[in-house]
Parts: sequence; structure tokens; C-alpha cells
Amino acid sequence: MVIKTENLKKNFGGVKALDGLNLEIKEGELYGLLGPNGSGKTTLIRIIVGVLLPTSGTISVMGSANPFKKAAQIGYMNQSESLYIDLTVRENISFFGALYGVERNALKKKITELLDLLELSDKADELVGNLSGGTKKRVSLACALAHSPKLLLLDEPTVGIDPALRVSFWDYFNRLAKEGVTILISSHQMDEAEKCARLGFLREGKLLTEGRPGEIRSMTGKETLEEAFLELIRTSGK
Amino acid sequence: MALRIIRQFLRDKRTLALVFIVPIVVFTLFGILFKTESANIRVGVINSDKGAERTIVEPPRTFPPIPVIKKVKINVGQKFVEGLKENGGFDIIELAGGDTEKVIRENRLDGLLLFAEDFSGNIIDGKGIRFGLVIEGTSYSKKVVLENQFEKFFSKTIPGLLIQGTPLETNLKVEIDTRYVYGGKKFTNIDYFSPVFIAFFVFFLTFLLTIISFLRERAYGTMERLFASPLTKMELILGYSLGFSIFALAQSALVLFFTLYVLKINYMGSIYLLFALNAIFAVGAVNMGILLSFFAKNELQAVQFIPIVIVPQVFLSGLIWPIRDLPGYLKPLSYIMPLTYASSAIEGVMIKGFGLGQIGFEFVMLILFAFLMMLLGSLVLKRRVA
Repeated sequence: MVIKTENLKKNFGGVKALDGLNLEIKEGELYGLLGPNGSGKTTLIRIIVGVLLPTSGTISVMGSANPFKKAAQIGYMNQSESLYIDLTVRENISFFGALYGVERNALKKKITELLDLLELSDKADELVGNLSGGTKKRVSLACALAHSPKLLLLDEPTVGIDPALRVSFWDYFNRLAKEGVTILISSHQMDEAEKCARLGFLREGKLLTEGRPGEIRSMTGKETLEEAFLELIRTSGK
Repeated sequence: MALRIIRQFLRDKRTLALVFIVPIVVFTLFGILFKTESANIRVGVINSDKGAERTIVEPPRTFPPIPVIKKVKINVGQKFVEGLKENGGFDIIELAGGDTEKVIRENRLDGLLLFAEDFSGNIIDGKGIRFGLVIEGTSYSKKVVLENQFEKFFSKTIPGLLIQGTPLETNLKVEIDTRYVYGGKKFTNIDYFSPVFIAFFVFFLTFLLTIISFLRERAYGTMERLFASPLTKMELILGYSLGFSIFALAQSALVLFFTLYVLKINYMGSIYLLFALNAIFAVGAVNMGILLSFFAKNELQAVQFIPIVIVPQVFLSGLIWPIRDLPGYLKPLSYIMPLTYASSAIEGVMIKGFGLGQIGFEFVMLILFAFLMMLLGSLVLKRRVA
């Protein structure tokens, strides 16, 4: 297991952000974490990446209880753009790559590759502060990929990105997964969840249900994932 | 609109405190400091005057009228000391002789008057009022007072000095042999103020830049990204220290160049030492910025640290008022302020021409300050927050 959590709990003051979460993600899996706002998606990802300590429960990331020990192999894209607005696109990617110890020439090659892939080549030397929200999202993704991580944690990466680019994002994620990269993506957009190999529905800090998109649809007898999810919420409330 | 602003203010307790408490604190300080500004200048006197004999012709009181010729031994030096004590406006301390610089240091004097053995003799013989004056020269205002007051005092006092009813010669020239322990006659106001201001700028700007940019790291989410990376906490702190110190050094290099070559201020001592001092101080300021950034939620609150962190240092670090003249209960505050040591060290180098050995204490204090800030900063900096 690349990621394994057991009875993971996290309280913020009196609020239970995670309430006994058990999660297992295999190597090379593209796992979609779905759930409404405030369901605990971001909290879970921050615990996995190692910037947040759980209140109780255990966690293991690539076999280590302290994710920081595996930091060099993890790529992380948080919800806010998290870029230096007074640096150019290239400088941002280069900084994060260097932070992870990528060798200079390899980094140069990687940056060219990423700029190409994310259609950023013509904006490479523009200041990030002057870019649109969607473009910043792409730069942020490029920064998370600069060191070719083995585990990719993406917190709502496709928000604010136009549909055509979103498709190519998902194609790329799938390709990475086939190459053996484990990917955990959070989203509250159900339409893109179809692209994931496995889904987990998160609600009030608990994993409501888990399975392949097809399984979840047939389980609830609904046509779309969106309807399935609403059905799940309704039945769980009882 | 106004209601909204009031509502926001009331919600932000810290701003509220700042708006109402800080001005009171600052003005209290002002009040105290302006009252103490008139602290007396300490002047030592080494009176080696052996006195002189003067022949006095008393009007005849006898008959037949034979003028009485008397030889009177007088010590004008002693008279001057007494006169100065009464109304010279200085704190006069009578001292035995010795090495003048040592005497000044040991008695914490601002100036030292030297009456030579033939002081009275010169006056009696009409050669003039000749004496030595050694000015400590650390404080510009005191230096100016000392340079000007004595000439006036002596020429004013002479006519009033009666020796057994007979006034002294009045047309005597006052000749002062002035020497300086530190600085010199050509040192003017700017020479005195620039050293401490260089320290102040390094500190203030470096601190402000760091706290703002650290806050921005948090606000833009880049801090979280840094913490998710293999970068260690120490690497982060050292990286920040290095980056900003280079900037602070470039800044102080520019300021030094400008003050030394454009404004042509007078200085003594080594520029390299000055540079090293600025570098250490900048590292301290960077880490103080990192530390305090954790107690500010946004840039507004960061700016609020200026009156709290910066203003008292301006008042109490000897930048404007010498620490020696501060009331006793404020002195401990001065000694916990890093700017006190920085400006004392920089002043030592620039005005007194001190080397590393003589500013060793300040040097160590600045290093300690930098280390302390780094330590505290790394303690509050949490990679994994609970």
C-alpha cells in the first residue's frame, strides 16, 4: 500500500474534520476523493502530505509513519495556487524542482516537457502575478510534477480550468498512473470522477462508500455519479 | 460604510489596542525622555595650579599715606573650580591627575579640564587664560556645548574674580588647548548620526521585509508547499537569513558608500568590521521577522509591529538620547534591545575607531541576538501543525 490510514481522526477545536477514516490506496492507482465542501478532503490530503498532524489514528505513506521522510517522492498541489507571483512561470517551476534536489540539466529538460504538456510554453517567462486563475492552476501543477514524484496529491486541481484542458489533464493523470505513479485527487465535480480508477465518497469526515465508478452507479441504481452520490447521502442520513 | 469600518475595527482587538494604547505608551516615553534631556554634562577638573603671587598695592589707610604693598598668594584655578561648581551648568568633579583618557573613562566624564601648574601665573603675568580641555566626543550635542561654553564662562567670570578686593586683569585672552578622545573637531552632526542610522535602517528594513514576505508565504500557500518538500526547517531559516542578509548588506554598502563618499562624513575604524556588524545584525533582524510573522495574521498586523518593536528601540537604544541619561527604570529596557548593541558597536567603530577587541561585548551580544531569534523562530516554525 502506498497510502494506508487506520481510524484516522482529526479535530479542529470541537469540529470533527476526520472521524475515523480508513483508507488504502495501491501503487499506480488513480484514486478520486469526492465529497462536498467541508467533508474533510483537504484535511486528509494535508495529513497525508505531512503538514498536519492527526488527532488520533495511524497513517503510513510509502511505508513510513512520518510522511516527511518520503517528501522527496511526493508531489503536492494545494488548493490555493501557492506560487510566487513575482517570479516567472519558469522560475517558479525551477525553484520547486530545485527544492526537491532535481539536478540542473534534468530539471531544464523536465521544465520544457511540462511547459509543453500544460500548454504554458508561450507564457514561460511571464510573471505569475499577471496570469489568469486557470493558467496559475496549470503552473501550480507543473510545480508539483517538476521532480517526477512517485505519489501525487492533488487538492482540487481542475477548479477553474476550461473543459478542453481538463480533458488533457485527466489523460495525463491516467498516463502517469499507468507509469506507476499513485495519484490521489480530490474534487467536488462528479463528472470528472468517471475518469478515476477508484472513488471514495467522503462525508463529515467518514468514508461513506468506496468502489469503481461503475460499481457505485450499479450499487445505487443511478445513471450518473452525481445522482448516485445524492442517493448515498440520502440513505446514509437515515 | 463608516459603520462597517467601525465594526471591523471592533472585531480586530489588536488594531484596537494599537490605536488607543500605543500612542499613550509612546507619548509617555516622549514625556520621560524630553524631561531627562537636560541631564548634566559631567566635567572633571584636574587642577594642578600651583598658584602665583601677586603684588597688591593697597590704598593708604594710614598717615602719612604710605601705600601698603602686599604680596598675596592666589590660586585662580581653585577659584574657577568653585565658580564652575556654583553656576557653570555642569557637574564638576575634582580629580587627581593621571592619564587623561583613563580618567575620563573611569569617571564616565564628558569632558576634562586641565589647569596646569602655571595657570595662575599666566593670568597674573597677563599671558592669558590658558588651559587644556579634553572632550570625550561620543555625544555630538555635549561636544558642541563643551567646545563653546568654557570660553564664554571664563571671559565672563574673570571680571568678577576679586582678589582681596582687587579685580583681576580683564583683557586676558582665553586660550583653550582642546583635544578629543574620540572623533574630533571636524566631526559634525551627520558624522555622529549616520553610524546609528545605518544600523537602524539595516534592522528596520530587513525586519519589515522578512515579516512581510514570510506572511506572504503563508497567505499564498507557498509555505505549505515548502513544508511538504524535503526542505528542512533549518534550511528554510538559513536560506531566508542568507537571502535577506545579502540584501541588507547591499543596502548598507550603498548607504556606507553614500555617506562616506557623497556626504563625505568623517569616520574612523575599519569598513570591513562595520560590514561584519551589519551582516550579523541583519541575520538577527531576519530571524526576528520570521519569529514575529507567527504573531501576525496579515500584513496589517505585521505593520503594527513597527510601533511595538521599532519605536521603543529608536527611543531607548541611544539613537537619540544617550542611554546614560535615561532614568534608571528605563535602562534595563535599553539593555535588552539589540539596536542598543548594534549602534554602540557601529558608533565605536566609526567615531572611536575601535577594533574588534574593543567592541567584543557588543559583537557577542549581536551574535547572541541572532542565535536567540533563530532558535525561537525555529521553535515556533512548525512543519507539521497539530
